Amino acid sequence: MESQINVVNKRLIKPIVYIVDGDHDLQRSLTKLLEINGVAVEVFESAEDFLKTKLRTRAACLIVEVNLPQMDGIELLEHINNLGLRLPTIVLSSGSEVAVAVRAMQAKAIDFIEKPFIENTLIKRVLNVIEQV
Amino acid sequence: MQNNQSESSLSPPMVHVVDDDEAVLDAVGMLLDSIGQLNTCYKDAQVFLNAYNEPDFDKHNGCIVLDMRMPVISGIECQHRLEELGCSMPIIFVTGHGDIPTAVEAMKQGAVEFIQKPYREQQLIDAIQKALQINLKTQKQTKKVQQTHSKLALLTKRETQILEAVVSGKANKVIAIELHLSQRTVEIHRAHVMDKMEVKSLAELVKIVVDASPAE
Repeated sequence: MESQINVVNKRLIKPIVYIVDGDHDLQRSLTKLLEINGVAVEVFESAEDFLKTKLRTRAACLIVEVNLPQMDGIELLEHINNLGLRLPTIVLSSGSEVAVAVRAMQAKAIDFIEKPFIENTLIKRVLNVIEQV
Repeated sequence: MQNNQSESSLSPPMVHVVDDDEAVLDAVGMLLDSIGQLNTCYKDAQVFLNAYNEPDFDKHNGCIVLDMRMPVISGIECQHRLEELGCSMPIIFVTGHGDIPTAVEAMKQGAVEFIQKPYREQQLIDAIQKALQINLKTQKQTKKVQQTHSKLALLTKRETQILEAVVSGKANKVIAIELHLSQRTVEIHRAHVMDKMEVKSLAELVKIVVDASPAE
């Protein structure tokens, strides 16, 4: 009996990946790929939107674009760090300079990936992060 | 006040500059001289690594400014080797040909800064100051850990047993039963442990012991 309950629990307690990126195509395709892999996804248009939500205990990973309407992705990451939260974060960016990548890594991002990227590479990286949590 | 005292007890930090371009090396050396910062210049990574392996080389006090693209041993390769050697000095990368993947890789390996040429002099100075601050913090932590270890070495076998039990949260009564001692004896041993470890409270004792035990 007990093991059955555990299996059910496991299925219910999916890790959550947060995506903060205004690109709808990217939102859609990443969501699909992550859900296939048994991960719940929550999507946000801006850093402000993301900060309005309450982080859950099963929060596993944050994927954030540097270029966001107001607060940028790295500022968001710095803000999260200042709150004393530790959420493994992968920063995405298109057409960025080296200095931006350095800033992201100094803000303790676990990776910085340039767009366009191969989706499977990102998904693998995310699943890797979730396993380690 | 206490902080100032412990800072002054450390010798002035050394900045190690490694670059295969002699003009750059001279310029950085002069810049650092002009702000009164001790520095040593090396014309390539091999020369630096040789110096590093000398017995009288101070491996902990200072920071390293590494050029990324150098013949034979690149900056990244040098970083890897230093890591293998257990180098605790922070590394600042300087490069004329920076790309994002290289920068990300270097930062993942623990570099504190990655500066692209041409840079403003102030940028390098800021980075060096930041690196030296980080280094000072590391050194202080290491020193504390060493002090704790030398104090731990002074404990008798019995006292070590008691210490372990106390730190894991056991009450005197429980320890007494487990070690077949009277409660009074445990209390006395415990008082000796506190004396020898030079702490006033249980919380302090737990903190220094946990800080000194190897990282998770």
